[in-house]
Amino acid sequence: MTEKKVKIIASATVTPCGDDTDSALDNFFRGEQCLTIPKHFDSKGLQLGVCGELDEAPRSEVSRAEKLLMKLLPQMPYIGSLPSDTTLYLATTVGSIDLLEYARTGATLDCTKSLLETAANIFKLKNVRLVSAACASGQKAAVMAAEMLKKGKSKYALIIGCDISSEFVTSGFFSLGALSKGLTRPYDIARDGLSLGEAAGAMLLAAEDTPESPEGYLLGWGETCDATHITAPDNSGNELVNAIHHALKMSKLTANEICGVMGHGTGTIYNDQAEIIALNIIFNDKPCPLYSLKGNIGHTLGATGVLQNIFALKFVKRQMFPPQAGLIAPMAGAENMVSTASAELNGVNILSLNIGFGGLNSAVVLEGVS
Amino acid sequence: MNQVVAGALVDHAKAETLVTRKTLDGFSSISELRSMMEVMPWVLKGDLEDFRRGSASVKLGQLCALLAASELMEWSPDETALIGWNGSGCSENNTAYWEDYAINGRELGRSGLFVATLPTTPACEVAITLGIHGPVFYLQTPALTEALFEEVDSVFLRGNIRHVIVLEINSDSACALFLERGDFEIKTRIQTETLSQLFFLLKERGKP
Repeated sequence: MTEKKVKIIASATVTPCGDDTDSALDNFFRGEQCLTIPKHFDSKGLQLGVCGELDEAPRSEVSRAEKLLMKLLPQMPYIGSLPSDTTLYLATTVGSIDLLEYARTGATLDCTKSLLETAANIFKLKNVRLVSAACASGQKAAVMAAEMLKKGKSKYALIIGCDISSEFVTSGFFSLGALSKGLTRPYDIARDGLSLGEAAGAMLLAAEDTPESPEGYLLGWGETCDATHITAPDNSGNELVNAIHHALKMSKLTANEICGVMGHGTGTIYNDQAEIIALNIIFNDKPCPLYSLKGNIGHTLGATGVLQNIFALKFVKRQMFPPQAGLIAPMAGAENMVSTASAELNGVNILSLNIGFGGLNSAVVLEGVS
Repeated sequence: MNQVVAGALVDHAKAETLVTRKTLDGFSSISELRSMMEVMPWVLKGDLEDFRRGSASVKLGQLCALLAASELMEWSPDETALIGWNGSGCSENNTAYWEDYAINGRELGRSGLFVATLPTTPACEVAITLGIHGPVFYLQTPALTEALFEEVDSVFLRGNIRHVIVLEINSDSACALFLERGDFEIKTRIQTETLSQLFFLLKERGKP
């Protein structure tokens, strides 16, 4: 019996590099680092990825997360006409956390539930699920939606990834010593941490027997947990390797059939090291082009996996990865993977990786349409 | 069809298991429960190195999952997934971090409080305690176990997962159930709003 494939039939993005996917792509291929000092709170000199005119607005009782979701809407003409059994999977780490900031102290708000309810209203769907797997939330939501479609429970599923830049999260990552002093430099020998960003992305998935033509396919996935440390990844990369093996096996592909890797690439010492070790194990005899979005837009937390999946398919269409933004000299082991120049993609299969706090590893294989 | 094969429930005064009907009570704090568990030969030994620094919800989750795992003769952490579901989420931890930050500022920010603000943190700490290497995540759905078990079915479909632990943590209680992939026939697919309700229903009916 032939395995049913899951199609990606529509997508939408709002990122610090542009209010739509095409303008973001242009900035990626120019190698732009769309990071700036935010206006909505005192970042104490840290540069973040913020989304356009959102930054002009002061904190209010309307969350930036809601505004980000509203900015997706013009790119989603199908909203309102999806079948009633369509499930919305919302990937976020802290949701509308700025509502807590706005309330200042003494308030207890369920900021993730609040964003879930907002998303249900905006996207006019009743079946809603909040998926949180730290910074692997985006791909986790895509995997859950794909599994639901494979079971034949419904024909369509909508995935939304959304996280905002906030004083709450910025101060938290600062306390962990995880932030770059300047602009993040994923996979660089002198990388010193991540830059935070905000973004929202939407992917509409459909069962294979629906009439819509695909932007691409979700072929396979694998997920593991290091179970070693609550914030640091396992330096051996072993469980990330296992997640990649699961994804390749499910996709019925070998590593040699992968033409590019959308890495998690946060720009922290430990994340990038674990990732490069794992990729060298997987691709030991044939290094594969590697690229991280975080050099351009910062680490967008729960949104990053959704964005990686969307942009991976766009890169396949162009048969090209952008230059790695922030890169000056590749770290050891990544010399033949990352580049300051655009890299040609010879194929249609992309491996996309997410790594989250708690040792969460997610590997997804996508097939693009070239 | 999948089957509940083990479970545990812990609240402020009592800890109990689902199948073996073991009970621990008379403790006045969660740390005291840990001490009681450490001297019980039937309780599985897990990695509790980080127990002291964990939030209240992490501690409840760790001990509850350990008790549930103690009921199983055979299970492989490599073939086990863990889903944190609903419960009280991380609202209280968010407030605790934010208030601490508002008072002490950036330079004195406490990373331990920040890590606790992620809804996945309790599930990930439990994964470390039990050494679980399968998928781990937190899921919030409408309060009905049907939505949760739909996702459990999906996880089992992958073929490499034999057990799924579902974990519900509230401010003063936690419930953990082990589900096993198999050809079991459950006479009635019970629907409840919380895992604790399901725990008591299963217990009332005898062996799950």
